[in-house]
Order: sequence, then structure tokens, then C-alpha cells
Amino acid sequence: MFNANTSSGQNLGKRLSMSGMRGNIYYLEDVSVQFGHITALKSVELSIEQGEVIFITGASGAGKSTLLKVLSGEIEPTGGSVKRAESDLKGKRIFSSRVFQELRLMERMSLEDNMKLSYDPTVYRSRNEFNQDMMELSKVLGIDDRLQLKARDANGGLRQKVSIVRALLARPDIFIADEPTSSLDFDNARKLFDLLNIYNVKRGMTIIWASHNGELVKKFSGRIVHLDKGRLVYSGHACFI
Amino acid sequence: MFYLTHFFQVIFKRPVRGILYILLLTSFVLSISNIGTLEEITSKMVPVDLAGGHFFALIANTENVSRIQRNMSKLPGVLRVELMKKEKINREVKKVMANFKLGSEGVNLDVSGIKIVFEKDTMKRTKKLTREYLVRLVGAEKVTAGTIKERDKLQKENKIVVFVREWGAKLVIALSFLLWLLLSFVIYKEASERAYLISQFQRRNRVAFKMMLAGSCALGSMIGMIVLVTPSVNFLNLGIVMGIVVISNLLFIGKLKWER
Repeated sequence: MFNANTSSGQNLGKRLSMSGMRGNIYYLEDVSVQFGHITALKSVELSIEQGEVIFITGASGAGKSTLLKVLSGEIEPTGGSVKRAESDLKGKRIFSSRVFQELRLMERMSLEDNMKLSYDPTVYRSRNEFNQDMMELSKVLGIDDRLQLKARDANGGLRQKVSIVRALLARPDIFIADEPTSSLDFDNARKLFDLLNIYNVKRGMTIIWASHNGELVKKFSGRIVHLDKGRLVYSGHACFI
Repeated sequence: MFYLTHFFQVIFKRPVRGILYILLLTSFVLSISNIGTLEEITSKMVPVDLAGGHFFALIANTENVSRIQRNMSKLPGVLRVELMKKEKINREVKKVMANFKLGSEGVNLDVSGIKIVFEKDTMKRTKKLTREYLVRLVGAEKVTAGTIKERDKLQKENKIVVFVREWGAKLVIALSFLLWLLLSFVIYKEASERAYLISQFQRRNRVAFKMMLAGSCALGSMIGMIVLVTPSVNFLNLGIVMGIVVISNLLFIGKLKWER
């Protein structure tokens, strides 16, 4: 059930799943990430349960993006171990999708075609079902009338929303977003959070959201993981800060 | 089919570029697997100059020049006898007269010109005898034969012609390969990005590898069928070149990541 990417032992994941750690989808133990002389993460201990809403906060350069990359497996830590659950208790593969900080859209493709890259026939019963989902999500975020625009011609806010919709259309078990509201105003950010909340409640989707705007995320409900210069300095609910 | 569709969507995102890519690849595979035929074609396009010296002769128009041309062509050591255009003769004569500061008025230009071209390696004595035969055949008063110009004294064969004859086939192969490689860099970068996004948002593994493998196999079999209907296929070369194409396609993918 667990894939243990560890510097010390390969089968730790299996042992963990047998020793009552069911429900955890991530378990980071003493994780450090070093880029040359720069320490991006230092001795981070963190566990995330399935269905949790996590806000990773901290100033620019605190290590939020690095932590997200470690969680998604894009980079491996230089120290410590990361265990990621590969399947849920029913044996279904746990799938995560991301909203990248730099969005990563295909610039010459239309916004709609960018979203269609998420169409997975193993997830949707038909193309029609996917299209319906796409239109509904686009309507909620108010972008349904601009889907034919080329990505390169779209403004920052629009691009960001497309990137979010694309990630949601993948119907992930874990939604990882790096600064998904950096180009959005508070109303739009609120709208997005409400949308994600529906996914969280209805589908049990885990949400991991990094933002440098601590004040904004305090207004939403979820666990706050605060980083400072690569160290995890707080993990708990906003009301306790 | 899924991977193949995405492969061709990337290739034909810009139709002209896609067609050019396929044409270059076809040309590369075709030329390598038919290198013998290609060499033959390029050398035929630029024929070897078999000439080994020549001389000009002016013959009075009272004579039957065609008969003289036929007779001279039959002589051993003569490669061909060319009839010269009247305008060219007039132009040349006027040029010579002008060089000697003589007016061309009053000069009788009612003559035909022929050029007797010898075969390569024809002996000097044979050439001299051929020239003397012409004078005897037409009559000394009706013919003016020029001096025999030897091949090595003439302008050397054009370097480009020699290069094309010797390297033409290899040039076609190298050019099509280089241009294909160049286009591949551009196309595969896009393919790699698309594969990266698909692997991020769909539950699929090794998307780029499967995409390129499917694409390479489809293109390979398509081009393979074209090659097989051509004459004198070198199957060893065909196998090697197909291997190169498939391996380079897969190598392009490398480690899948977003590179912008």
C-alpha cells in the first residue's frame, strides 16, 4: 500500500501499512532538501491523512514549493524519507494532480484543448461526461465563454483558472496546488475554495494548497502547515495561531 | 491508438512542418536502403566528361556539312562531331577580327562550323591524322582547321560537378538526415511536453515512451512499405536505418520533465 522512498529502508512502507498507519497518504520523516549550498527544507516531519485540507504557508523562499514537489514525487529529498500511499484501503490507486506555480499550459493550444488533456477514459464513462464536467467547472469559475482562446493569448487569471479546472478534471484523490490564487482576487479565491470544498466533502479529495498569503488562508477551514526558512514551525488549525 | 493519435496530433499540429518531417524521414530511409540506385542516379544526372581534346573547323557552305559530320564521326578516336550555330561562328569571327583591329566588313562569313571532339586518351598522332583527313576530305581551299586543343590545356572540369558526381548520394542522405534531425528536435520537444502533461493528469505511465514507440512503429511500417516496392533494396542498410530512427526517437524523450 505504501511506496517507501527512503534513504534507509525500502520496505518500510509495507511495515507502516501493517502497523496501524492506515489513512495516512503521506508520511515525511526528517526530510531535508539541499540545492547546492542552499537548504530548501530542513528536518521536516509531516503526515497527511486522506481527505484532509492542508494549507502550506510561509514567506517567499520558505520552502513551500519544494515541499509540494517532494510530496508529488517531482524531487527526492536529500535526507530523511518520504512515504507515499500508492493505493487506498480498497486497493484503488491513489492519484494526485497538480496546479503548477508556472501553470504549465500548452501555449499554442486552446484553453479547451489544454483541459482536454485530462480526459482519461478509465475515469470517465464517456467523452460526453467529461465535456459536461468541463463545462460545469468552467461555468463555476466564469471562464466558459473564453475556452476557444489560445493559452498564450489568455491573461494570468484565466490561465490560472484553466490550470485549476484541468487538475480537477483529472478527478484526483489528492489535489496539490502551488499558489493557485496568486492571480485571483479574494472573491475568486473564495469561489475556488468553495468548489474545492465540494470535491473534498463529496469525493474525499485531499487538498494541499501552498500560499504565501497567510491572511487569506486563515479565512478558510483546514490545517495550516507553516514553514519558515525551510523548517516546519507550525502545524495545526488556523484558530490556534 | 491513444498514443498514436497524440503522436500524430503533435506532428501535424503544423501541417507543413509535419509533411516535411515525414518527407525528410522517407527520403533518408529510402536513400540509405537504395544507396546503389541513388549513386547511379546522381552520377547520371552529372555525366562524366569523356572528351580528350578537340579542334574547330570552318567549312565553306558549298560543301555538304552533314555528310562531312557523318564521315568524321566514324573515325576511330572521334567521340562526337558537333555542328556549330552560325550566329556563334559570326560572333567568334568578329571577336577575332576586332582583336586584330580589322573591320569585319567584306569578310565572307558564309561558312559552317564543326567541332571535332576526341575520345579521352586518344593519341596525339591519331588526332593529327584526323585533322589532316578532314582537310583532304573537304579540300584545303574550302576548309580552315584550327589547332588541336588538348584536354589538360582546356578548362578543368567544374569542381561542383565532380563533387556532385562523387558525393551526390551521400549529400542527399546527409542533408535529409540533418534536416529531419533538426525538425525532430522541435517536434519532440512538443511531444515531450504533451506526454508530461498527460502523465500528470491521466492515470498513465511512461506516456512519452509509448507515444514515441507507437509513432516510430507506425511511421516505420509506412516508410518500410514504400521502400519495399523500390528496386534493389539493401535490407541490411534498411534494418540499420530503421534502428537509428527508432532509437533516436526514444532517446529524444529522455527524462520526462517540463523544460521551459
